[in-house]
Amino acid sequence: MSTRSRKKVFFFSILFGILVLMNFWMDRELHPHYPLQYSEVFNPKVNANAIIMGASHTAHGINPKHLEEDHLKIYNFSMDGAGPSFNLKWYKRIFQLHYPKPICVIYGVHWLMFDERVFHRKVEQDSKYFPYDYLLSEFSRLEAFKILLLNRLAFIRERKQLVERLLGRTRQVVVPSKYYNGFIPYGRRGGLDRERDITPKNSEAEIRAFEQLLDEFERSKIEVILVQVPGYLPSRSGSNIEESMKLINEIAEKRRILFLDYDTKRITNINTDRSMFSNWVHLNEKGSDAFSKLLKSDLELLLRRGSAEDRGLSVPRRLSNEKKSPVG
Amino acid sequence: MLFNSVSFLIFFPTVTILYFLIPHKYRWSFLLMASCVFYMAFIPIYILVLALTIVIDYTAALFIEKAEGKKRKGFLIVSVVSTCSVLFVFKYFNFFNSNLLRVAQFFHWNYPIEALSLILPIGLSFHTFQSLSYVIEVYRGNFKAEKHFGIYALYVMFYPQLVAGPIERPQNLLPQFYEKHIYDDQRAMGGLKLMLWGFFKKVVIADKLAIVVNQVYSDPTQYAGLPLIAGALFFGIQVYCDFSGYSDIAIGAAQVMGFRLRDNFNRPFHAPSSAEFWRRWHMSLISWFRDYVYIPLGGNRIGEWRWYFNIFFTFTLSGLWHGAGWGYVLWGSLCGCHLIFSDLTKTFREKCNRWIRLDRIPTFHKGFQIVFTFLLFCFTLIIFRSNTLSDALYVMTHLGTGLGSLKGLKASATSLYNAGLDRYQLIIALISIGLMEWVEGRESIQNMREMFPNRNIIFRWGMYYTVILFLIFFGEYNDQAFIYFQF
Repeated sequence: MSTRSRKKVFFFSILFGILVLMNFWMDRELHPHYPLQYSEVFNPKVNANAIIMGASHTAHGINPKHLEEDHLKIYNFSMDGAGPSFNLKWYKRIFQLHYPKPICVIYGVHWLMFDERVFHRKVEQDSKYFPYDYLLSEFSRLEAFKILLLNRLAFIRERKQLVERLLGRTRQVVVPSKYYNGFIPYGRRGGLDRERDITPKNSEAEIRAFEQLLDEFERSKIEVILVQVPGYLPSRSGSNIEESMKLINEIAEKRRILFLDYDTKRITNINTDRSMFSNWVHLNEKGSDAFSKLLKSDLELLLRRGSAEDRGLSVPRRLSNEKKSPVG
Repeated sequence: MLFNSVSFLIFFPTVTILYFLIPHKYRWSFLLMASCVFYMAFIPIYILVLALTIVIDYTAALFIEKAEGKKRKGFLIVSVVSTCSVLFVFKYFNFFNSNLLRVAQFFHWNYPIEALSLILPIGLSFHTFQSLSYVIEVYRGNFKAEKHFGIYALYVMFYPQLVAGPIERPQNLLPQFYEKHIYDDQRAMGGLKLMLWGFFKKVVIADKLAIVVNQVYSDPTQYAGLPLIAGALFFGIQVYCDFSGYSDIAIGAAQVMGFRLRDNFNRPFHAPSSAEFWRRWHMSLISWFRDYVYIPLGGNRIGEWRWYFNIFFTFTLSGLWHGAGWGYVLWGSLCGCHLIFSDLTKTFREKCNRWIRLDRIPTFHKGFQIVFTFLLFCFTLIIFRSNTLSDALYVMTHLGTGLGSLKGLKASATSLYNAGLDRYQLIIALISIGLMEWVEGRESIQNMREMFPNRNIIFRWGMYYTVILFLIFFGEYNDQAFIYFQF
């Protein structure tokens, strides 16, 4: 082997070594609930008859433990940054193929949910959690397979977070010991003093995806309940979320879906209690416990007694008349 | 096919390996075929448009060579008019038509001609100019007409420079297709390193800055102050990194196979004056205009005011070359005006420099000139990038809005963070720009082809690893097209 060739081999060996080390370092799991959620969906053990879907506010905000009863098993499949298009793809291409059909879906809506800049999670980014047989089944879709394969490499998948990782900004933010059926509470605290003035940029594609997802549930005869988890009101300006809220309310009304809105309609002590929040939009362990209990009691009241209007909640006639209670 | 696509990642090594494996006499046909595949990856049918200009100019050049006197000129005119007509139909017809329509509406005339719904063939302006330079050179007797149709077609279609230059001259490129290229490891590695540098500029810098630029210019009225300043400065850097990155990849790809394409950029952001800037920016196009427009008009060997007109006319035409719109025309004329203004005020400025004793600190003086030239360029680009002239006017008049108070500055900074890149991404972009300027400021244009051949191994390898790791970790991979493809 010539000197030039030896140099090249040496150069690429060092590069390979750097990438292997980076991959090892970046592969550390920062979200211990994701592998468990994917393990459940690909190899069901809980076999939940009601599931929770949504994004981080739901993943860290609704504890299934407080909603469950003897005959009812609930699993929280919500994931951080999961918008309607993610959930649609996840539901159709993963959940429907591997999990028993639930009788009810609690979907965690949010006034930011149609904003692609915020809810930008992609199914392909989770390929790390996919079993090999599923990965190979995607081989027919070459483009999807390429993305899935590339996302198995941590240094590619997590590359956007490199700076945050180097600066230690991605330290453990959840409380793994409190994990229960996909739910994991947030541990960090902060950012409650600053007022946020975020105007959602609603994407047509996300709105369409949400409608399609609801169509899917309807086709499968799965009952849907929309829930908006409480946010910390003193940190937020409310005027710019009206359009999004109107949109969600219209969808719920048009489809006669029960919509429990704890962020703009049913305001409770939780919304103003700093000790309940991890940050301006996420509940902490205490807050999620309090809210999950409140949600359960409301659902019981609503669905068993049909007294929704008295409590400021919008309930479609179909559910309140039938008094069918998928939860509780 | 985009250079920054997975298809090219397969296409390039395959073509290069096969090129060296097949016998020399078949190489031209193989390269021509590969170039067709490369071009047809965009809109396949448009290869016929390209074929038309190739046939016209190939035939015209043969006739020009044989003919004498007025006939010779006649064939040149036929060739230039036919080639330019293709460009006119696809690129300029709707622009002129809409303006005529406006005039007709103003005078309440009946104007029946409708707009054409044609998509501009990619890189049409580039290969049109390359074809024109061939027939003009043959007409001038500087180059003999190419007899081999396939080789001539390859001259126009050679894939590394087909869609965005460098705009080659027949004297430089055509003879290279007859040369027998043997694989040279050192040359190939130099080419690959240059490609790597081009990818760094395109994927790490240009495409990252594009996020902010696109966001700001999509609706500039939403912003004021810092985001607009960032949008204007970032677009200047984005255009440079995008286009010079493309040129580096093109030159590098050709170099791997043994071809030497001409340089297109020579560190323009280090130019201390507008005149120097335009000698370093898009050199293949600027020299084209110099040789085929500016000098035939009389160049600078005429009266002062006629010379100023020549500068103004050439730059206005170059603006029109970039795009069929008044914004581009205005941008070109503004660049011409800068040159004229800087010449008119040269003596006065020199006196001022002596008066404030700036000439006694030449380093500071030169630094000031470089920064001023860069800022002036970015300022004129506002017209180039804005969707409408009113948008451009808004950006230009609101660059300093809100920067007078601390509160306004803070609000301005917050809206900058909301313009697409978070704080970390913004820092990475700035570090990458700094790295690029540092490297290009220290290396000559020749050394860039080899990427630091005279430096020690630790420096060189350190740079290579940095560039590769930046590409992997901070690159934007969204198949974003090169800006100059649209021209």
